[in-house]
Amino acid sequence: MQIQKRFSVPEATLLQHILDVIKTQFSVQKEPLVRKIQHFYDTFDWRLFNKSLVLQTDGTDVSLGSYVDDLVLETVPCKKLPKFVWDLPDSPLKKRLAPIVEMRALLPLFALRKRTTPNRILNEDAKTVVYLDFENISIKQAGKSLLPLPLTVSLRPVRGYETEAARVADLLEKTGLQQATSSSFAAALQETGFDTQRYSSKLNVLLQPDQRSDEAAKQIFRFLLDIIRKNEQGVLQDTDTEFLHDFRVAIRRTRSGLSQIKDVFAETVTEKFKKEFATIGKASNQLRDLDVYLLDADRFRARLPEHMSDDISPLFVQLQKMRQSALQDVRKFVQSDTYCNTLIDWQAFLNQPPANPAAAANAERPIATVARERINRRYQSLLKKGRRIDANSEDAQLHALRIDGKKLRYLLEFFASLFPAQQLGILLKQLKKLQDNLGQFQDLCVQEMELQQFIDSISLRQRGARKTIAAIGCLIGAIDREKWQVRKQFDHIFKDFASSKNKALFAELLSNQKEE
Amino acid sequence: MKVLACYHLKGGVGKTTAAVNLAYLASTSGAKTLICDLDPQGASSYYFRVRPKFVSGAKGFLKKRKNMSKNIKGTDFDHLDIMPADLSFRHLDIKLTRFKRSKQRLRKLLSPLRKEYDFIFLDCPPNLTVVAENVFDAADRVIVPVIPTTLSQRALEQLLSFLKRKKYPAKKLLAFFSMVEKRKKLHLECMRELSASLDARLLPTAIPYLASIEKMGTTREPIVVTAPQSAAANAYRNLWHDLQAALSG
Ligand SMILES: Nc1ncnc2c1ncn2[C@@H]1O[C@H](COP(=O)(O)OP(=O)(O)OP(=O)(O)O)[C@@H](O)[C@H]1O
Ligand SMILES: [Mg+2]
Repeated sequence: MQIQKRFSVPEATLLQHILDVIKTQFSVQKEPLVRKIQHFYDTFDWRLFNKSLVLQTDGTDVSLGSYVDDLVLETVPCKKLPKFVWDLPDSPLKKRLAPIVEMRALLPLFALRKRTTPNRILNEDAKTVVYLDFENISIKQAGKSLLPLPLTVSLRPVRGYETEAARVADLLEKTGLQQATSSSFAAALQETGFDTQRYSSKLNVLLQPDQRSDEAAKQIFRFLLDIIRKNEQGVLQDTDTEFLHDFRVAIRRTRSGLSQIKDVFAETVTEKFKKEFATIGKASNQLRDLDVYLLDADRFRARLPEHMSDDISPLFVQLQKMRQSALQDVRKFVQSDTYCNTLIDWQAFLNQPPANPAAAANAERPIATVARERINRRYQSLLKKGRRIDANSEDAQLHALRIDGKKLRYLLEFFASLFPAQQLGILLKQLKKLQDNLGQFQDLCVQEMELQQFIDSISLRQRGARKTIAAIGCLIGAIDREKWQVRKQFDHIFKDFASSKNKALFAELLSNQKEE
Repeated sequence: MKVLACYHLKGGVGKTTAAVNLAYLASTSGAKTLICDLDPQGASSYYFRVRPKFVSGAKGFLKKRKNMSKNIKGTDFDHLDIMPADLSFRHLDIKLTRFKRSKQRLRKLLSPLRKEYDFIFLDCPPNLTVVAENVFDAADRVIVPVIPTTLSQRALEQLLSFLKRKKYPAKKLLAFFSMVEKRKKLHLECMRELSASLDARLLPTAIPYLASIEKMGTTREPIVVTAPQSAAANAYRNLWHDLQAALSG
């Protein structure tokens, strides 16, 4: 395959020497200098970096390259990179990017000013067999002066002429050149000191099995608090919907942890923060609901017969309006004393040394023991509740089961570092299947109900009201059918989850701790 | 992905010149383009300064689909690759008949390249053998340069009846006038007659006879590159627009 090689050139005077060496075997044709400014982007949670991809614009094209070299994988003519993938022109690039980036905003990182002099290396037919690019690159960052990177020479191969490329690479190595960081983006990223680990919404808390439980709990909560803090800015600026989503998940996990990691803190402390975090969670319920609807707009439309798909547009206009005001409420809340004080108190509490004497019964017990107890209890109760569900069960029973499942999932994630990763992974996957089914069911129930309410709010005097009502009616029908399909699948999904094989896995997980 | 074959059973009508320039034009829009030189004479390989392959032997080429992508070479232009001619193609027709489903062989060989390219141009040798049937089977459109002379007209009729006999859809064929000399009354008359009979299968742009086009033999680059403002370059650009319109229509 094509591999690009980059070499650092310690001194500009060496360039002539390099050409002279190559000219002993090939002829060289120098091309005019190319000036380019490339702007680089990634999502807040580094989705592209994590896939070794690099997204850039140069004012005429948007292109997707690889992190390991400067080769371009896909490119599309587009002067300005839109904030969201769905606004890109339809193209293979968009197709490739969309499932990775999803609904996250593309945020600018830095720009590179590149001055490139390409040299064509020709064979005896005057055919270009490899390019040798002399590159002078500087990093441009808002409010900072240009930061030059060391000069480089890049070998850009031409397909089918690998032998020639290898010969040129050999010649370069013989002149004593050292290979440089694989891509200019990678080199610049190092130089700018961007922290690519700065954010991930995944729980990643490294606990020791014999750690005091109150300390371990605090460690988990500190991790969650950090996520909450890191998302505040994006929530306030409404950069994309996932800031609020991650923010809320961290709040929910905090609440769940407070009630599930039992008897580690003083009762008064636990109760105070449980109540306060419940308030914080509630404050953004409406905004998140609306986000979900709007993100799903295309799927709603797709459920309708084609000639009706535009008739529900008034619904989305209305939801968009409601979102605007819900966003204002959330902004106000995140800046309120209620919110700020809770977080300040919480942080202060989490940074206190463990209470002495212990504040609660489990505080000093090893976390591995407490974790196993809690997980086991949740798991048993989930099985019991699930087994009671049959074809005639009320929706509410499924909703309750979902909440139990979520609690179990959070516990498994909190304590992941205490268990063998592979076994835990299998169980989490099984649980996720169950949760997906229950979650889908719940969403469809709620949507059905809310759409019904929306119909009530439409005035018949509004233009096109009848059409809109008909379309929403149609949508309710489609959602209802889907709901029953999802409901039907529950039986076998739960049976899988509660299989003896999984039970044995759970038993094994809860009996042996991870070997150190 | 679209496979576009430049084909005629008649030799020297401008197939290679069209394939080379159209493929180049396709690639300039950023579309990933491959030109396959199926002619053992290797004219299009020559224009891109790529040596034909001497060794592989058509048998190897035809057998292993993986070989296809291994033989591809980058041209001097972005997004444009070439599958150079293989000298052993001389007996391609005989070798093809040795395979089961010998008429679908080319399509099968090209299938792994579908993902990689937006356009594949086939520069075909002039004949009406099993090679031609492979080309008709594999191509989405067969582009036929027609010199407006009585002799060409007869060759075109032959080709049309061949298509009919083999039951290929009539609209697979797209013709254009090549090497047109406006001063020749015969050319103009012949064009009038053929326009009527070909109707929508005729691309509106005609490529005039221009001495500058022959210079491609010495510059070894598409004329659209060496003389982008020339009448010849304009003609090929217009032809490419016609072709795109025909493809999307
Ligand atoms: N419009 C034109 N005006 C003048 N000369 C042309 C024109 N088109 C092609 N030629 C010249 O005519 C000769 C034959 O053209 P070309 O090779 O494109 O035809 P071909 O159909 O591919 O031939 P073959 O059947 O041998 O493969 C070449 O020398 C080419 O330079
Ligand atoms: Mg030819």
